[in-house]
Amino acid sequence: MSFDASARLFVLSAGVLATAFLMALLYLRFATSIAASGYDLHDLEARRDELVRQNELLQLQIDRLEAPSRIESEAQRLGLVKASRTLFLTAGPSVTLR
Amino acid sequence: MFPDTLPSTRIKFLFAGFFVLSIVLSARLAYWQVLRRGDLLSQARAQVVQAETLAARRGAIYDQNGRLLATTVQLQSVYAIPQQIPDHATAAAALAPLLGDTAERIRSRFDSGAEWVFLKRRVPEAVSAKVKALAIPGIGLEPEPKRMYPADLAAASALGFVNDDGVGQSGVEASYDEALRGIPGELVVERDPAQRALAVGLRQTTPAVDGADLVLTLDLAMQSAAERELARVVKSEKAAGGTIVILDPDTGAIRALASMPGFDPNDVAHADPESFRDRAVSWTYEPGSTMKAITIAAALNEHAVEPSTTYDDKGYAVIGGRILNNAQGRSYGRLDISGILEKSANAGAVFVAQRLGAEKLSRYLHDFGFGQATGVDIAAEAGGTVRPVAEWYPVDLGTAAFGQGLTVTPLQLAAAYAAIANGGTLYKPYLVQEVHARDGSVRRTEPQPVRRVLTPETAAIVREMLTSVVDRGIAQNARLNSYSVAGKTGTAQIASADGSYVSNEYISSFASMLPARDPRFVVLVVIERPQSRLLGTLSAMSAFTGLAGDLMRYARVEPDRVR
Repeated sequence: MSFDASARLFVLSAGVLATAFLMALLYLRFATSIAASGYDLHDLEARRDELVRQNELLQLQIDRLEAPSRIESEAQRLGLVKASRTLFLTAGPSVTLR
Repeated sequence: MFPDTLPSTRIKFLFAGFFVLSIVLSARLAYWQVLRRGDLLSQARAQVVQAETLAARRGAIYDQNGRLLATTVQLQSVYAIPQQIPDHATAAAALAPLLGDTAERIRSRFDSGAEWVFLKRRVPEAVSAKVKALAIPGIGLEPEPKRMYPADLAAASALGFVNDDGVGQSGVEASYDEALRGIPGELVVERDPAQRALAVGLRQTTPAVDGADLVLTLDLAMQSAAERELARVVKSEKAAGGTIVILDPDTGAIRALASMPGFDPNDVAHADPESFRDRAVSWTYEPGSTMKAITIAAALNEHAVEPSTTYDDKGYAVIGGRILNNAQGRSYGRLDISGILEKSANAGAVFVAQRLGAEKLSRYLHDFGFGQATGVDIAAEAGGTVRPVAEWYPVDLGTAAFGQGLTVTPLQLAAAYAAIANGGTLYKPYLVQEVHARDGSVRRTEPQPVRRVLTPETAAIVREMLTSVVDRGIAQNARLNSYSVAGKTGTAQIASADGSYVSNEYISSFASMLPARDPRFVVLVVIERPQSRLLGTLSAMSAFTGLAGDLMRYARVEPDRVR
């Protein structure tokens, strides 16, 4: 085998090995990145669930505050009284036409 | 060299030994790696793969206007892993005031030998935040679903409640448990030792199907007003209990269903079990004089009497050899049919029943829905008792005419009055208006007419007579300034276990429809064992007037009478 042929074989072999090494590095980097993203995803899901939970609790608090019995007792506490009578108006034709 | 130092036979034996050993090892390796590969793989996966149940979210319950009545939220439960807690005494002392427990009891749970133990389940958010801030190793928080009722005590008996496992125990929660509960799912996932899901691992999900939402016919504003008035009169009368039912007579839709004693569905652990019984649906009583309207309606419908028919009231009636007296033995002289209702004359009701006859009265009691469950969509409905006419003694015709010797539920009586109010058709009462499934489908409950009981003409005559009862008769305390009211009072005795009546204890009631000319609502008030005894109907009417004004204003019903 001539020197040139041996050198080419060496360079080719080295190139193949280097490429395989780089590919392996890239694969590891990619796999590590996915795994890390998985942990980020887990944290984000947990955060989302907690925010949803907090939102539901706040909505519940709103519903509690809107309960008629609570509003009525609060109105009484403020000294408000019920209207003694309700005035019903009969709308005339000119009004109903609008 | 070798031949000089080692005999060739020994080398051969050594070589053969290594050869056999390598064959054995190879066979063993093949056994585990090929034949038992599946077992090893499953054991390895079992350490990282976890299957967990995805809980279905229980459906919410709303009133007819979309106000939330029941929902499920995630609250934090405090748990401990005692082996990881560095100092049991210090941790117990720090947690005790937050969890409302003693340090000794908390420490005894740490020292119980359990690997994992709940300290307190579903604590308020403020408490869980403080526990988290303590950052005690071995103390953690785990979210758990908790059924919450934002209107607190409102409609508690109609809604019911769920147990710790989320299963409905009474009311709508029980009768619609299957629809509300949904279907749990499953998540199979690979996790690392820190219990985090691996992004590149196995992940198979069978999603949970959340429970359906319910929209009730109840109106929270009407319900709250009914409960307010009921609580007021029960308190002032020191009564054992009571109920108020509000029905839409044209559909049978239940607008309010108040029951006392009540309970807080958010804290059923501390409730009296008797309070779980819905007085409107699961409780029966002898209705007393409110039944006179039913007897007279039946007789008018059969033309056994006419509105102009009169009789001479002597204060008592003789039937089957027994004397049945008017209340307090009063005699009213000549009365027409409307007068019987206005005076609430027992003897008059007996006179009408005798004209009608036992067979027909029994049939009308059945047609009005007494003696059988209405089929309302609430758990644990009672049916009441109306004995078959074949078992009646002659006197039973007379007692049944004014509501004794038979039992009804308040809901049955309200439904019967609704039939008079709407022109003669008995409707099946219902509480759930819509079921919203998660797939977007909506099942609506259509009003269900059960049967026509009265002609529209008879129903109108009875309404007119009941209006006279309020305008000129025994129920004048139920008059409203701007609206006509048709109604009838009832004071019933209470049967004891031995069949006799309890001395000096009564159930007072007022059954009504308003506005009388074109009824929008049927309202029934029942007070159990009021302190004022025979005058308990005054309190029942007081609850009615307190409620009716709000009801008309809220429903924007135009006054039908000039002030």
